[in-house]
Amino acid sequence: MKILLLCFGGWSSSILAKKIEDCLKGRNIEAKVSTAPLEVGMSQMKDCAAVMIAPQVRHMSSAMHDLSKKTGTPVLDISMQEYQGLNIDKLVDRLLESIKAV
Amino acid sequence: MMDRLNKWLEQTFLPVAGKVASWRYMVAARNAFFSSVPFILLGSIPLIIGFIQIPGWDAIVEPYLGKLLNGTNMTMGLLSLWIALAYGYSLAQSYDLNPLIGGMTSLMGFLVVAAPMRDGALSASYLDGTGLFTALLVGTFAIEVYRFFTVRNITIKMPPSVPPAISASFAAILPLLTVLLSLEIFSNWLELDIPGLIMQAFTPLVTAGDSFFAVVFLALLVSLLFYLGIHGWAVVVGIVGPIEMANIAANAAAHAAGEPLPHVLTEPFFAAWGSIGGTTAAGALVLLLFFCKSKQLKQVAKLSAIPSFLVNIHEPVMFGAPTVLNPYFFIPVVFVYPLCAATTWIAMNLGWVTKPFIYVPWSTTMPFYPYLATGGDWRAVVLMLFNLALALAIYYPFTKAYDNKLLKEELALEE
Repeated sequence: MKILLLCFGGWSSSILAKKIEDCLKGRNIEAKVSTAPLEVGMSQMKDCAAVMIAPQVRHMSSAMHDLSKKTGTPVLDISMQEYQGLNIDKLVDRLLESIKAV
Repeated sequence: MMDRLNKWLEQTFLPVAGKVASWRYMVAARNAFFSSVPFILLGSIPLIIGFIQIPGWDAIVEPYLGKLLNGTNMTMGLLSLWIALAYGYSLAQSYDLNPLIGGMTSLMGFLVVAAPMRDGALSASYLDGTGLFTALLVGTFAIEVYRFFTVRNITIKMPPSVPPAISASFAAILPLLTVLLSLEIFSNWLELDIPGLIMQAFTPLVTAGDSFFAVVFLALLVSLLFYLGIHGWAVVVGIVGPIEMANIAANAAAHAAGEPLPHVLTEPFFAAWGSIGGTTAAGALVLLLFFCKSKQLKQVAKLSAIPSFLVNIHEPVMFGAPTVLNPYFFIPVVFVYPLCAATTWIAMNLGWVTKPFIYVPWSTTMPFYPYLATGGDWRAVVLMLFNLALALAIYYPFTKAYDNKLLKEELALEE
């Protein structure tokens, strides 16, 4: 399962990506959570199980949601609180729900 | 009052930022910019080696300088070529067209106008940053033509037994022919200097970009977006990024030729002297947080220090403190960055500090970043430290007030 976490350069979110991946592993779910710039997310969306949007690029959120209607990939907005990675379990719950809903 | 200001800022800027940043051509330009970064980075290395500030080094390097700078010419010196290819690729991809064919069509269109073959040779004079706007305009034209033919299904029809790869290449012939012929009329038959004309048309814009007003305004706009919690550069980099890249390539070429450097508007201009520890000089804030008394800010200081001090990433402090839509931080977050741009602009235009001519990624640790970007000018480090001191002074009273407020709340909770 491939999950993309999108921000500006794909660098600032790597800590959070690692946390999500570890949390999924703890639940026996093998997933590759990578960070990427928005543009990469746009072109690779169809190959992903889900795409997550960091709060600092949330101005692109509606464009990404529009795009996801075409590909059927769930798009998840991360809130500023979630982005700090303090309550990772809740975020992962939300992620899994959105994947299941498809 | 601040609540209303926050609300107004969000409702005014967020939708506009979204519209601008998700505009198809802007996304393609951003993509082209990001994919060209490694070429610019690599092209800077011969400039560093060739001009090391050691007495006697220039005499040693002299005989090999031409060969050494070939590395710069083949990477940075072909900037518009890379942009034409990457922009066409990315724009075609956004239309669900064959991206490779799109990139090649765009590249051919660019070469037809910027480097028409004369006596068996292509002229390289517009393949560097000077052909940048031509690359973007011709690329847009080429892909729109490609799309026009594909959407209307105007293609040379192949029987169904022909393999798809072959029929795809036949499908590209008509748009390719249209692009070739329509551009050749001007560049080949009329022998018009199209890149020269386009450059003339854009010169006022590029010149204005180097003005005091433009750099301060740009820094202010980016800061406002960061106050809203939006990555300001992500919104404007589609327009500003390619110009900054062309400017730094022009500065590099001028430096290699021993001429005065023409431009200040470059990525290091903002990043090396303003994004100290992260955009809006957030490193100053992180430093101050270490002297705060409230538990929350102490915690944020620990979490933010490494990303900020090491690689100039300030999202942890921005969302942790938080400074986003936090009235306490409105003034420092919005005004420190433009102030840094102002002092930097003045210092460079008075000739006190070398203008940046080496591309160094914005994640380079301070104080190496300003030192490297200016080819080893120690005064660049002094200017960075001056701006840091300025940022500390402005962040200080607001951080203290916010710390006192949090401390009071924490004490009230404990009782």
